[in-house]
Amino acid sequence: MKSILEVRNLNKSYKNFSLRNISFSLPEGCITGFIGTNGAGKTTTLKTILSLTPKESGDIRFFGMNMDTEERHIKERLGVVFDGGSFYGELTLLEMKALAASSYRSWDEKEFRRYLERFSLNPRQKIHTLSKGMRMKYALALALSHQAEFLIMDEPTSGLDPLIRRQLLDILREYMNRGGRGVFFSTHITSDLDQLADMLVLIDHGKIVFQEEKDSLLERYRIVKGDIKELSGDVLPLLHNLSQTAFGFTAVTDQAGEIQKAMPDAILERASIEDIMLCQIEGGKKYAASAD
Amino acid sequence: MLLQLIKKDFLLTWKYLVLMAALCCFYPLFVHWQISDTAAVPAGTLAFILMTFFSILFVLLQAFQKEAMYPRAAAYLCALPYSRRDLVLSKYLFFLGIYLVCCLIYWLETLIVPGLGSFGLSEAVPVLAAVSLLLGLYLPVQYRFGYEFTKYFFMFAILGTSFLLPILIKYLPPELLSFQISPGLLAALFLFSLGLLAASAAASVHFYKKAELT
Repeated sequence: MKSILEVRNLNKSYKNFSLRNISFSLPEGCITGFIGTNGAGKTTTLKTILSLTPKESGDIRFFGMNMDTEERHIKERLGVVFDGGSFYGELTLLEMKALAASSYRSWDEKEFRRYLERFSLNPRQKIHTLSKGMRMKYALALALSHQAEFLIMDEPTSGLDPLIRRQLLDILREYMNRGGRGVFFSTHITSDLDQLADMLVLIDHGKIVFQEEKDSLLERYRIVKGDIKELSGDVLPLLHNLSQTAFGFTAVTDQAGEIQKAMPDAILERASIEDIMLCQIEGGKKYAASAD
Repeated sequence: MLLQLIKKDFLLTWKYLVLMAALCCFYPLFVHWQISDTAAVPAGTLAFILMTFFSILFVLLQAFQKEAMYPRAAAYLCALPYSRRDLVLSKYLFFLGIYLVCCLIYWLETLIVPGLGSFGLSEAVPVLAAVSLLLGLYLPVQYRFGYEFTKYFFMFAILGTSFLLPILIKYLPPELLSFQISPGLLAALFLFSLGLLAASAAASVHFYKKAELT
C-alpha cells in the first residue's frame, strides 16, 4: 500500500517541551487516529508537519513529495480542519470561502454549496455568530470542496455534542468511501476512534509510543479483573494501569495467555482504546509500578 | 491569490478605511481654509502628506490588531496553498493601495478646489518616500516582534520624531518643502522608496518564514 504521509526523525524543541525523533508512516486508504493526552505533542506534530512551525530536523513527505521543496503542490492536495477558531470571525462564510478557494486550483464551488445546504449553513452569516459545531461543519465544507486526497484534522470533535460528532464521523466515512484517500485525526476523545479508525498512533511526552492497526491492538489487549490474593510477583510485570479496591483489582494486559495460565479465575474483557492508551503512557506505567 | 488576501485586509478594516478616507478628504480643505493666507508652504499639500502618513499608520495598527485577534486564522491560511511570502506581500500591496487612494482623493480635490494647490509627481513622490519609510520600518518590526511590541515602539518612536521634526525641516533642502523638486531628486526619491520597500519586504518575508504560527 502506498504511503500518503511519511515522517522520519522529526525533531522540534521548545523551552519546556520537545518532539523527539518522531517517525511514522500513514498508508493510503486509512483513517489514522493520532492519540495522546493533552500536552503530549499532537498539535505540535501536526503544525510541524504542515510547516506552520519550523522543524529543527527530520524529513516530511506527503504523496512521496518533500514538504521542504514542494510545499505548495502538497497543500493543493491536503484538506485541513483545525478546531473552531481558525477563521476571521468578522468575515461572512462566503468571504472566508472566497479567501480559501482562491488558493486552490481545483476548487469545486458546486460541492461547497452542496455541503452548505447539507449543514444548513447560511453563507451570508458572520463566522463569529456560528456555534462551535457549525464552525466545525463549515471547516469541513472548506476542507472537502477541493478534491483533497488527505485530510488532516486537529481535535475536530473536541467540545462538540454527540449528534454533531456522529455527523462528522459519517462524513469522514463517506469521504473515505470515494477511495484512494486518507485521514489523520488527532484527538483525546478515543471513543470516536473505536468506531472509525483503522490505525492508531500514540504520542506521549513528545515521543511516538506506538503505531499499530486498531484491530490488532484491540485483539491483543485485555482488561483483567480478579482477586487481590492472586496478584503475585510473577504476574505484576504483565499488568499495566493496575487499580485495587477491597473487592479486587483491575488492570490492562497485552499478555492475556500468560495471565490466564497464572490466574485461571481472573476475568478477561475486551479493552477500549482509552484503556490501551492509558496503560502505554508514562502516568499509567508509573501507576502500575507503584502496586509492588 | 494576492488579490483575495488584500480584499481580506480591506474587509477587516473597512470601517477605519472609510473614516480615514473622510479625514483625508476634509483635513486638507480645513487646513487650507484656516492658514493658506499666512503659510509659507502649500498648507493643503502639507496637510495631505500628514493625513496620508497618519492614515496608513492608523490602518497598520488596526490591520495587525485584527490579525492579533484571530492568530489562528493566519495559521489556517498558511496551511492552505498560500505561502507566507504571499501573506507578507499582500500587506505591502494593501498599504500601497491606501497610499494610491489618498493620492487620488487629494488629486480630485485639487481639481475641484484650485486654490488648494497642484498635485503631481512633486507631491506624490515625497509622500511615497515618507510612506515607504513608515512601511519599510514598521512591517519588518511587526513580523519580527509581533503586534504589542510594534504598537508601543512606533507610538513612542513617532512621538520622539515629532521633537526632531523642527531640526529635520531646518536641514531639508528648501525645494523639498516648497515642492519645487528637480526631476533628478524626484527620481532619486522614487528609487530610494522602491529600494527601501523591496529590502523591507525581503526582511519581512525572512522573519515571517521563521515565525511560529499558533
